[in-house]
Amino acid sequence: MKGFVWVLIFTVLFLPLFSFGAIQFSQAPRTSDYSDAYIYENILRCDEESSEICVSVCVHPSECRWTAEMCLSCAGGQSALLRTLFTKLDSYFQRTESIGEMDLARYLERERYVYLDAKSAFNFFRPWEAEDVRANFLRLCPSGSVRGGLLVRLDGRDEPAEVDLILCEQFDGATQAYGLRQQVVSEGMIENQVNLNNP
Amino acid sequence: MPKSVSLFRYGLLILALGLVCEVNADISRIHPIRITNRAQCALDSDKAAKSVFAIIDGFNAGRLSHVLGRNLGVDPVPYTQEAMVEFRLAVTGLTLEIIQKLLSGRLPLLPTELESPEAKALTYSALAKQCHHDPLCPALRPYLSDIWGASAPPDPSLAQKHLGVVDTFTKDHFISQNGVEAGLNCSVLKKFSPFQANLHGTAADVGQLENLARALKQPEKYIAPCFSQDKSIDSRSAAVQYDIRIDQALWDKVGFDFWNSVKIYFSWAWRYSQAMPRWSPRYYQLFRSLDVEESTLFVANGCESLMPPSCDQDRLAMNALRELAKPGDNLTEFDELVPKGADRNLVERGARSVNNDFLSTLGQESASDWVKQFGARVTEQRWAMRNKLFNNAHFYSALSNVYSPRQLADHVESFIYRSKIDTQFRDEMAYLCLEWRLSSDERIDFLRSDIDQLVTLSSVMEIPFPPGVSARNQVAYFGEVAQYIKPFCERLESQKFFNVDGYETNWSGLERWAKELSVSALPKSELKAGPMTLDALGPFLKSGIQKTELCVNPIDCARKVFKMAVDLYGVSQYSKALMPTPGKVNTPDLFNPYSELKSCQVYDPWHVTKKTRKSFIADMLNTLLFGWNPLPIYVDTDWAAPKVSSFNKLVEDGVLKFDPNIQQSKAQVALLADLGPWLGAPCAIHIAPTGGKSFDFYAFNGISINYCDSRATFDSVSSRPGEVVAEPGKEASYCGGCALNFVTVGSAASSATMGTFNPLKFGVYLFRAVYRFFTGMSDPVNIPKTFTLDPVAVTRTFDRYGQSIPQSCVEALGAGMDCYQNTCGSVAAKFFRDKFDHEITDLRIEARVDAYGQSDEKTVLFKVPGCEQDFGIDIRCSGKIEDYYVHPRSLFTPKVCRKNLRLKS
Repeated sequence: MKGFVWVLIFTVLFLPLFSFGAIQFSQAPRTSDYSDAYIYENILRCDEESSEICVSVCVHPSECRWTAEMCLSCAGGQSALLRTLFTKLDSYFQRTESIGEMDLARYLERERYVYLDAKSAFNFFRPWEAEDVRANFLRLCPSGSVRGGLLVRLDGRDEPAEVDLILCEQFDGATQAYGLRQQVVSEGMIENQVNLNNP
Repeated sequence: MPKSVSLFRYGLLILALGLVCEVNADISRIHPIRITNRAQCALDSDKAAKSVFAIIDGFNAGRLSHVLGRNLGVDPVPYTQEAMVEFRLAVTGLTLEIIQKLLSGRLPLLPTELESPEAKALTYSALAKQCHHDPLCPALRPYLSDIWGASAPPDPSLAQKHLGVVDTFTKDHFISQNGVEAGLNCSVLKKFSPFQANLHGTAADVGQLENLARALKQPEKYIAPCFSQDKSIDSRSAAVQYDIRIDQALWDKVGFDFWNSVKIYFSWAWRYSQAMPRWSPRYYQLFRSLDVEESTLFVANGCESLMPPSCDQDRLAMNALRELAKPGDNLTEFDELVPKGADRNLVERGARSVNNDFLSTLGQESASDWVKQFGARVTEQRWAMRNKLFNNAHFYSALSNVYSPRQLADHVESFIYRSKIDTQFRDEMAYLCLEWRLSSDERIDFLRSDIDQLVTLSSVMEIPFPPGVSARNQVAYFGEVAQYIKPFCERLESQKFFNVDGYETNWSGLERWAKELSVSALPKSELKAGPMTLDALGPFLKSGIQKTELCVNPIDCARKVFKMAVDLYGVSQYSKALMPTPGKVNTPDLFNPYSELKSCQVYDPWHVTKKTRKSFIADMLNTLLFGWNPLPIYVDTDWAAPKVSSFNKLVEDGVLKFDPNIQQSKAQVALLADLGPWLGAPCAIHIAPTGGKSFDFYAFNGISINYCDSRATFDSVSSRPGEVVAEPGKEASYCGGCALNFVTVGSAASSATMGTFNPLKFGVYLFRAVYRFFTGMSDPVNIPKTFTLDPVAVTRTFDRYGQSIPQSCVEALGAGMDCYQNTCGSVAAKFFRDKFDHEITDLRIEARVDAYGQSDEKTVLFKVPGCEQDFGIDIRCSGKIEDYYVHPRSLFTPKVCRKNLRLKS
């Protein structure tokens, strides 16, 4: 408890120092500007230091918004990949190296992907914002993160195909991206106990 | 708060799009209802349906919008309700738009058979081949997008001009050519009713016609306009009916391509077209990501089909959905852990009733209730199947990550040396080795070749698995484990590991699938318990960061590998039905089990017709040979239906095809001694070389007493002919019988005229031949028979006869005609109504005697409102509805009324 209070004080006092150059990624629903249609919108926010990142994505220096991609048959129980991500994430993926903001921005701008977190509309496998889903996503993030979400690349058929990045939201709201490696986590009875060979 | 989208908006939309269709419940637009018996129903499966239901389940749409509400931070319930309604309207509207564009020639037909000479759209054929008919394939999408764009102009000729740039379409690809008129009616069902009389009866009768007439008086009780948002229509589950009016000859040519096209355009347009914002203005962006094929079925309303029938696993599996649409919670093949297979079910179930509301559509309060119950059972089975696949895939992934098949087998072997060998241990080994034998032993081959075959089936290859897992690597892993376990189990058996004094295996811990296969060999007390395994030396396999235990010991893991393969086999049998691939809407023949019975040759709809004709020839020969002389002989000949004993299985283009092994129809001959003419008693003796021949010499109703030796049962007094049927078999049967009826007494009486020529006996034989022929041909079940009810004619007759239908009108109404004094009047009125858009207020029939004194020539005179003088037409009719001729040139239209005549288009 004492440790937590110190972390909080530290965060509040020194947050501005560390948040330079930070970007924030989020997703939220709203009605479209052009019609009454509901859409999910990806939002990228930049501060003064990171404004060039937003400029590179959408010309605007502080905020970029764009409609989330269609994800073929993601709203249903069909996708085994989505089911894996929402129910067995800890058995299949490991976090790798951190990804720079500019690289993340480039990914967001150029790739076709779907963003998934515990609030995702495509979570047909567990209740909305289920604690176990939150925990599983968060487990892939470094300690100190408050929320995790995945960027899953869509294939030519618009189906989710590759889990590329985990986006970890920090205390201050900044987003830090990390690579992911598909790595089945299972252990047997043999000497080394944990065998992390790729299948 | 969500805003509701009004019916008015959809009306405007239909007008704006130039869609010519009826979305109102107008009785004049309710299409003729085609009622068929079993044989005709089987034949109809080869025809494309003109009346189709879209079965819609809005659950996924509701869940999607529920989360939307949560994410917006508001009460999600109104969003859920609104989205489910909008989902129904979107499926209805998009389907309607596609059907209309196809009917009006603005969208081209996409051929089912790419190799056929009609498939001249070269670009489409090439792309469809490349994409295996998947409309969501990246190569086909831009092409479909171009076609959809070109279909925008309301003028079909302009659309076709634009389409000509996209591909090498010919006039055969468009329906509206040469002035073909086509129409469409669309309604949402509130309740299944006499409007679907084709599902509830096999012949026209008074009760049914009166029910239809009463329903037609208040159609709003049963149907609503297809964009109705009436509160009485359930927001989640709905059945929408589309009825197409089109020339039958043209439809016979294009019908299957039409529905193939509807399915392709639907799956594509749902995701990628600009039509979706029109049909779902609020949710289209979210709905694009919906698994719409999981929430929608297209089902023929009746015996016709939406795809050409075929005898293969995919089609049989899809049609097995019918079992889930049946009332009650009876166990179905979907509940079997090791399914027998759709082909075996087909043969075992054999002939059955049809068009008797066997899916109990009338048993539900509303059509939505029926859809809901059906949908719930499908969803339950779908998730059971998915859970099985997912859990096994997860297990495989964790296991193969740690142990190779060889390592696993080594652990199994070493386990025996590290354990205390007691009764429980021997049981565990017995389970392992029996489960190995049942799943893997190539010699006894319970399942092995079926499991190995899985990797050749496209339906299995299309099953989605978690990352790094596929059906192929699961089957390969299983194969290797089975190979390594084999010597181990064989050694245990040869070393008599299980034959120890005082030890008897307790099979209660066997896996459920293995118990299902050996149910007859196991004591009942051991069938109930679940699988058990030794909790020793474990855990052997753990998964994830939370270290969830997957196997207790190596034996447990090996048994789970066998279970994994058996489960995969089980799922493969019905995956096509329950897990539709995105881009391919399922179209099961829900209301016609004879679709697969006919295509797999289990039922021949022409058998009884052919048999009756052959029997007639045989009876006539009997008459010629024995009918005139005192020889008391009658050679009784019958033809048993061809029987499918089994199917040869062959994988072709990734689909398991069934080729039936047929025991061909054989003549069954019995020698019959007619004792009547000799003894003066109405009795006969029958000797048949096989036991399958029925004793029906006395083919008439009457009092009879029969005895058959092969069956060794004494038939009591009966009033029905052909009552004694010997059990089929190789043994000969000997039957004797006496009967009291016209023929037997006549035959017996002919003993009085024993001489060289016996005219009475000849007459009796001749009469019997003719009688048997007509009785055979009037078989209400197995001789193809169709009735067509014209709702307008039924209502008119119902009104004319004081809110009832007389029995005498059933024949005319069953032939789709109005009912007048007699058949001549009905036929003439139909001719008149087909030609003119005028009511008939009165109808008179005058007999005409021609030069030869023939009297079946009549003149029919009509009174028409607004015309003082009669219209007239000459007609020849003998009294039978199918035997008439209208002299078209004899049509007389009074001169003074001609200028006001309205001709039908």
